[in-house]
Amino acid sequence: MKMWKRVGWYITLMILVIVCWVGICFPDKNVEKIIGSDVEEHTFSNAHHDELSGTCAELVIEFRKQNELMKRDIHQMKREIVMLRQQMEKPNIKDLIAGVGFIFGLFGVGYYVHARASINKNNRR
Amino acid sequence: MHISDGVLPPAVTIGTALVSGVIIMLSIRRLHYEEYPKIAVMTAAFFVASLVHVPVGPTSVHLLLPGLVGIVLGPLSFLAVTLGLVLQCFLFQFGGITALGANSLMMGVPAVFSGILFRSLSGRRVFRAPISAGVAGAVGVIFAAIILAVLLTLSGKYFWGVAKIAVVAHIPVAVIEGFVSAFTVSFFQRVKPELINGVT
Repeated sequence: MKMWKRVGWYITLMILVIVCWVGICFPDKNVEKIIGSDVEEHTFSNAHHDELSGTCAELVIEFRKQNELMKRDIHQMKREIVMLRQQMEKPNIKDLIAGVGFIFGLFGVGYYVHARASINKNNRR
Repeated sequence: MHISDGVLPPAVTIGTALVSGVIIMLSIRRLHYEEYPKIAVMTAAFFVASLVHVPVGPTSVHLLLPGLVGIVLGPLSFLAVTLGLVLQCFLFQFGGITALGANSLMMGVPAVFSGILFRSLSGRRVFRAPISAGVAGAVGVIFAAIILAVLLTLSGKYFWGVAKIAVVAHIPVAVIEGFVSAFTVSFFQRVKPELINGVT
């Protein structure tokens, strides 16, 4: 009789171990579907688990909404950056004056050197 | 109307650069120091003209002024155009550095041709100087567009469509350029006629 009692205890213990193992290895499928595979494994009671998964689902939906809004904002900012870059690449009045000044300066130096050389040549003759 | 880097094949790039270099050397050799101020003013005008955008339909085009530069400077216009293009390349990033020879040839040759055309037309009694200048200015732009089309076609069949568009898009530019050249030459005729008559 004692032996049967001991066997009964062993069986109960084994069942408990199996239940715990199943709880750890196979969490709620709904939560995994919503959040993805990187789900923190937990072993809560069913009622608590349902309550938590409901809250998680709401959070994920909110998170996705925020993500969409952020994506839209980032796209708009990217467009504005491209437009700004195009505007900055356009030549401005400073470049224009710099170019004209460069041309006049270059030809001024050329004129001086060329004229000096011509005058010296004429004087030698 | 500027060719960017990497559009032309190496053979065309080197060939056009060599031809442009030879023409520039010839221009420098026949340069007299009294012509420096005139060349400087026309180079500055050519340089600035690229920023004057004229709205044509949904897009806008800018003046090129090869005709006017050719009318005022004659054979020396190649030098002025090249210098203007070099500055446009470095300051405004218009056109590529490796394509400078092709760009110079594309704008310089029509400028010289416009000068010759203006001399030959204004010599006849039928054409007065402003009309000749208008015709020379318009022909200069069309000639430049044709050279661009030829250079693009040499680059491969992919650019044939772009070449056709470039020629068609420059027809309104040619008309505007003709009017600008005609008005400018008529102004020069009244204010300083030796500027357009003294080209050798």
